[in-house]
Amino acid sequence: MKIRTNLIIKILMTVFLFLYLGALYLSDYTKDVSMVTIESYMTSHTSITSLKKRERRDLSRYFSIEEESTDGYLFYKDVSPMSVNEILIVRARSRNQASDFLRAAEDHKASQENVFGSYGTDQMALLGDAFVESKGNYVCYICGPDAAAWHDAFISLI
Amino acid sequence: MARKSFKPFFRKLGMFFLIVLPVVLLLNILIPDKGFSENENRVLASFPEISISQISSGRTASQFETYANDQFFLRDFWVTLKAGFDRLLLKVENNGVYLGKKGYLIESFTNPPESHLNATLNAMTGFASRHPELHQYAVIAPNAVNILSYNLPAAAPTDDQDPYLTSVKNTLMGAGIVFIDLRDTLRNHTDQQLFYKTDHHWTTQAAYYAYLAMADPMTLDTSLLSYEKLPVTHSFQGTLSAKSGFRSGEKEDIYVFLPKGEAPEFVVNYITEQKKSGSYYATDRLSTRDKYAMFLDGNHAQVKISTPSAVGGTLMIIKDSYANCLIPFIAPHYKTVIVIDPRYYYGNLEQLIAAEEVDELLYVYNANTFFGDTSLELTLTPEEDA
Amino acid sequence: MVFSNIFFIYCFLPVFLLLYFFIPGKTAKDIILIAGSLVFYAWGNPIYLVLMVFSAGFNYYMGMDIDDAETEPSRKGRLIFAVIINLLILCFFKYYGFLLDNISSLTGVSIAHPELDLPIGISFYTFKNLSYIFDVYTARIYSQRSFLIYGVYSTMFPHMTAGPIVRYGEIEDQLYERQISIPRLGIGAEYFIKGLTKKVLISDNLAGIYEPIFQSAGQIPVLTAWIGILAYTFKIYFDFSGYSDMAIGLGKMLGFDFQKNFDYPYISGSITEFWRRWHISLGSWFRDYIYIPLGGNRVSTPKHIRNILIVWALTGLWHGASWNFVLWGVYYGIILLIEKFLLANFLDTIPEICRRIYTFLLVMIGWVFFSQTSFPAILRYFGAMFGPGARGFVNSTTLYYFKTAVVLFVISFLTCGPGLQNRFKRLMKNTPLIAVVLDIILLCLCTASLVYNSYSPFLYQQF
Repeated sequence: MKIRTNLIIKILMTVFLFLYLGALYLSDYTKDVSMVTIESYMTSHTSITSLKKRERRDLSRYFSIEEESTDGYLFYKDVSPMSVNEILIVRARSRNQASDFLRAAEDHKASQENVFGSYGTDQMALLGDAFVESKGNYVCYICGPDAAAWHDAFISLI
Repeated sequence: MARKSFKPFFRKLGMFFLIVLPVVLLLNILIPDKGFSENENRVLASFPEISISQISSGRTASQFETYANDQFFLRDFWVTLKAGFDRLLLKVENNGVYLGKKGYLIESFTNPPESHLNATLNAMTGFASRHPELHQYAVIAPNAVNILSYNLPAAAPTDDQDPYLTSVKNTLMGAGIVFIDLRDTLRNHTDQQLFYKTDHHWTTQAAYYAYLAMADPMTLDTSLLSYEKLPVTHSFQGTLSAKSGFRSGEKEDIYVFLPKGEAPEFVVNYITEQKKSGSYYATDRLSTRDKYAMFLDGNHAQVKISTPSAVGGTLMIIKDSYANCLIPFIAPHYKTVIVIDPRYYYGNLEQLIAAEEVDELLYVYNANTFFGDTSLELTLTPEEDA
Repeated sequence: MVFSNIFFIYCFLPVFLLLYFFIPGKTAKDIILIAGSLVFYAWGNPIYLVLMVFSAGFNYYMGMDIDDAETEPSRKGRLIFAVIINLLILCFFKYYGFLLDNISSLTGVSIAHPELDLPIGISFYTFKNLSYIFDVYTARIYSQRSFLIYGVYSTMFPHMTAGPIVRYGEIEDQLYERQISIPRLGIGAEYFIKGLTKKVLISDNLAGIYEPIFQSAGQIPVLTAWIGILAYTFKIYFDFSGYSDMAIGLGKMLGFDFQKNFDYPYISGSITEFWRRWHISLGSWFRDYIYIPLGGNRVSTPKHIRNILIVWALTGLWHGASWNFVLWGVYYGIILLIEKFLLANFLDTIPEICRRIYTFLLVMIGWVFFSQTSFPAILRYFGAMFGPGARGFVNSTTLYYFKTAVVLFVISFLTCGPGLQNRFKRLMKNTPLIAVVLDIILLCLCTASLVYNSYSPFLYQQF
């Protein structure tokens, strides 16, 4: 009887471990949400509409990402050139491409910090709190006073 | 026996530890948070907002750590102490800034990635070939690391700007852009203060010499106005001291050159901000940390200066912040000056040139920014038809 | 969380110490210690808290399970099960990506895998738990029946994230009963401040010297390359031993005596001695749980050689999932073999100073394997150190590096042997007040550096 209890406990512990490791392994896994859905949710539930929607030229200009290569994107940026408020969510076609996009987003942040570094202290504070992340095939660059809320909204979707 | 005699020491240190750590914690909690550090020229972290998603990603934890650091009591004192300790260790470099001789903080120069520079040069030469009707000039000001290299710490490992400047000069000249080489001009005047000691900008004095050097190729009549040099502040603390922590208490002067006698009136129009001014100098900036921003009110995407000049045409200046203290010398020679900072200007340059009937184009950059810049290429490259 | 951090020293530690000191009762203190440790562990990456707690619970259970087994085969079976699960966890996080990358580069098939962050201190706590399991199996200790007490051992924050790898037997008595007093807190504070000083004032500053040199490794003269690796040699010692000292100090504050982990390794007269003085708890772990079970030196010479090479390759691999660490381990394995079989008598005949220089040079060369993470980088750095890939012997920049490093080198040289510490001990005895003031000054300087740096990352944590 004793032996059997021991065995069950050990099996349960092993199962738990595998479930946990499996969950961690899949933590990078994301739901398949189209960019259209994300955009309609973000525009109706967050304040990103205070920014101006941007198109392919701006995507290529600020992030060196070509529209054709993506699997959809959302890019809003403040009208004022002296503002660092912007949100980019881009969906890559593969993991490798996602890491390229993440690098592009990191480069963009570095370049923003370079541009605003010597004088734009408020902008620098926002850049310091910016989100530059990838999850699954999605990559986001989110900067601005509401960045945390935007980020939460986005993460809740995928 | 031996152990016993250590006891007084351990008791004292133990008491110290048990009392001082909580006292410091209490002080940090009680002393109100500061929003901005004048010394470091940055916004300090404030108490983090707490949300479940941020905690689970570990972001709150790192925000708390930054907060504890930024709001540590007597932060400025600790930073000064650290800088003093660095001096004891004979440290002469911090964050890419050298502690040079005669009180100069000098930003180091590292060889730029060829691809960036080539892309920028291609864009400039391409633009020149598309616009043969425009007279084009380029001023790429060498930095202190070049002109004042003798003030660098001995044998400091920094790269040489000269080969890049020469190669840029040859490329631009080949494309018909008049390159105004300031190296000799500035080197001949090192008896004057050409660069701020705590900031990466050049002084108004250096800009004035640059203006004199530009007069000949750009056919500017320098007898138009004569200037007198006046200090506007004695308490300028530049960005290099904030960046490096060296000489954080050091304050220096900013001079402006004002025309003697009656000067013609003009209007400075900050286009994106829709703000007009009758002066090149935004004196309200003198009460902030970033006092260099008094020249043309700091960085703006697009500025239009209109003067009553009868002789000059329309000049477009594509520039970085080095131009801000040079423009007051140049502007009186033109009827209209359009100032564009490509780092912030996202409009269509071709349309602007056509609309404003630009006659001449002047690039004004400092070498450090120019070699690392990526925005100039984007601004000069024509929009493809989507 | 790391120790060399303003938040830890001036927020976490005072709150924790006050609670631990003034709430009476051993059980209450145990609970506070576990709770504090879990907060400490969860701080940066809360999802791994589950792993940490699982690991503690699993090994607690398996310890009893092994003890309770009635037959030797079933003891052995349970041991193997416990070891496999522990290694599985370690490999999943640490070696999985390495393995897949190697498979894909061998087969040419690229296997995509998500990159998981390494849980902090996983190598340390896995080894700690394994040592407990082995010790129960070999009946060196009895298994712990109280989960609270095992939890204290298994999760205790001072040595959890970066060693030393404290054996259960070492602190068993203190797990049941420990002394907590102001003078013991003082002993701990002394260790902690010395460790913090090593880490923050010496090690972090040395990093500023070798980093630019390593970055331009292809274009440096011979002497610059040696300055770089010397700075790294000192840096890594002060980093590791500083962190161990802080851990030992925190342990003392809480009433635990951990054994010393670094015993002035750079004054060793041979590589054999070096490894008796460097990261002692790791070396003895590999000796007791791998080398000796493999037969140690009580086997035929070829097997003995095999044992040494296996142990050292694994020691290298433990430091990181990358071939350069394996190479680093094997390098030491080979030198130890040479010392054992060829040089043993010779080394005794030469003067002490020559032996120390011999050891120090070999250790410096060893750090090249450790610091350069790819084969081409290792070759390039050796090229710079020994001529073929160097830009001359010396240039003006060498002078600059030397000038900016010289003060730190002198300080490092003086503090990597026991001399200065012995002097300070005399001061502690003779004029305690001055010694306290000196410690306070060091703490202030460390605080200043930490406030300034915002944050200083710790090297050892990735292992």
